[in-house]
Amino acid sequence: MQLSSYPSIRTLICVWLLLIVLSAGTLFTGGVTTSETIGIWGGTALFAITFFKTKLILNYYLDLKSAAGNWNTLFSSLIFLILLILFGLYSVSVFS
Amino acid sequence: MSTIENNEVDDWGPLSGLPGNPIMWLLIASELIVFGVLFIGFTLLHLNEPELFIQSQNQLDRLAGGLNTMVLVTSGLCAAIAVHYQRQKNTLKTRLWLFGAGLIGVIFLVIKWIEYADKFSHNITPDTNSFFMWYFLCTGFHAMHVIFGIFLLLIVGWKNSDENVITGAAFWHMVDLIWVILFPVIYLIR
Repeated sequence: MQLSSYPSIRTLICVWLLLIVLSAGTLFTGGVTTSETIGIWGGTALFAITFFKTKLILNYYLDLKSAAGNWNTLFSSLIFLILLILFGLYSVSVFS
Repeated sequence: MSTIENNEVDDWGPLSGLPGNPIMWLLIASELIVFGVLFIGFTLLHLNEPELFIQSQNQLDRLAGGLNTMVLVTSGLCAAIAVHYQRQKNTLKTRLWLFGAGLIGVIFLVIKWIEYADKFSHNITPDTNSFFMWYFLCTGFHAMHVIFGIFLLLIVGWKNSDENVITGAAFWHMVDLIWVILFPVIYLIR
């Protein structure tokens, strides 16, 4: 079990603030108060923000950035692949 | 005593490079795949019945979903701070922050229940249509993870070895991670 370099409280709070701001960005981009479709650019922004948020959680909350080997790349790639498939399907629905 | 004492006890090969118990990371990977498949299934059905999905999605409370995202990332912060204090062998603060994380997890469930109650009061159930079947399936399955996670946080707060606290917090962050993906896919993408 690795327990060598966990982020400081200051870093964790900065990450949390960023996550809150990005979550507000998700609401804004996702048109939370309207029922209109968000379009391809809104969808692109939404998936990009979501990936960035998952990276913050992986890197800092789960401390994967300090993991030895390629674990960070592996888990990030898994999430990226899931989001890419979802984005691809969303794009098909927008253009069909 | 070294804070990396458990390195000498368990040798998981390449998996030893991961923070916490490697079994938890296998669980995190498998849960991501399971939920990923659920979300892909949901999006495929969206492609088949776009009108129905958009009309049904507009009946969801997007603000409540967004609020719950903020609630869960705040709870994740508490769990992360608990791990920080565990490293410093500060048992009291570790337990307090784990308890705080669990308590905020309860707030998540309360908001989720209010959402469900509103749907039920409008006679919207999993049988209403395919959208709501997937909505209740995905969010209900996630809520079950939240309930389990709260109990896990309480247990690792009680039996607070380094490995237990890091592993319990890792499960909680996984719950957080899945919601961060679930929210835009189910509530927002249209």
